[in-house]
Amino acid sequence: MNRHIDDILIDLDKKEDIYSNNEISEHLNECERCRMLFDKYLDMIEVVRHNTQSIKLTEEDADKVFHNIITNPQNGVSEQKFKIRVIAIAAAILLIISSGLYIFKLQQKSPESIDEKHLISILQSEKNEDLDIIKDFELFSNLELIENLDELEELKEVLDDEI
Amino acid sequence: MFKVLKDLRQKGFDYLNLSDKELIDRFIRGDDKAFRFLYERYVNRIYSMAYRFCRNYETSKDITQEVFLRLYQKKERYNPVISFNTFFYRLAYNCILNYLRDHKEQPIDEWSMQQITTHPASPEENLFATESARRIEKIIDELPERQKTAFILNKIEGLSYNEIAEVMNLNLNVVKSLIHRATLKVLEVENE
Repeated sequence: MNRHIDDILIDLDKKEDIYSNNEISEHLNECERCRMLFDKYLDMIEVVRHNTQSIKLTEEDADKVFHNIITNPQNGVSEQKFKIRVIAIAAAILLIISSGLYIFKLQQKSPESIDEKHLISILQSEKNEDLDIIKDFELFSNLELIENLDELEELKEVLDDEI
Repeated sequence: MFKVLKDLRQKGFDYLNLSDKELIDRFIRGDDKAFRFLYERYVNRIYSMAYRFCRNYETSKDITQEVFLRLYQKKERYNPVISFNTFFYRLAYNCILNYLRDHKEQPIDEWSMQQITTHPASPEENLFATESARRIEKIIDELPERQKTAFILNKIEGLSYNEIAEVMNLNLNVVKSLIHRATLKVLEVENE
């Protein structure tokens, strides 16, 4: 037997072939290095198979995936994800618009808003202006009265003189 | 067992003893219940295969859904001359390849290697076995794409060289060579 286990393995199609292969059993009796290598080979397969069994979907997710296939068999995952993306983008746009409107309305309603304060201050200043005008008018009127008084006094003097 | 199958069994449907071929035949004839049993039989095999390439739970879940969806949509394309195993793994292999081509940069789950456990007798053996399992997984993870596929299909899924040649659309000798090279790489690292 000249072939070592490294070479023999290439001809082994399935795991069952290992145990039924005479070439292997004969060679393993003769070669210690190959015996060790062969043990490692079997361990390796066992470990990999065991690991694979631990890689699985949760039952809940497996049921969800099945449900997705049955309920929407015309759409693949990519189409479903595209739809979800479109819905998410539309929802985000709606959220932005509605929050903008909400803020705008809040600003209009609130007496504390800057625009309103500004308006009030303008009105107040206009009022002040009005008041000033009224005060001025009164002053002028008084002045007129004073002027009239002067006139009256003048008239009185003229009258007195005439008398 | 999944909820969908529990419900079916309660209603008196039990196809567990049917072969894959019988199930796919019934499914093609319009029996959707047969699809449910095929799903249960293959879902985690397809998922674990996808996971070995993506190392991401959500992505592997999506690929699994895509594979079964294609089976659902294109069941008529099944050719009874080849085994269902070969037909279905070919479908899965193509889905995984398509995905990898479209998503070269993808997140990898950190917890994946911690998931790997074994059932040895003592804590010392436990440590060794876990370390050994992680080393082996790392080597398999780093194998070139075709070597990895051929290795997984042969050593884990138990497909023959001929079936793998059909699945991967390769020459039989190329498949033998791919598996042999992958096996030697794993054994070399185990020997270090």
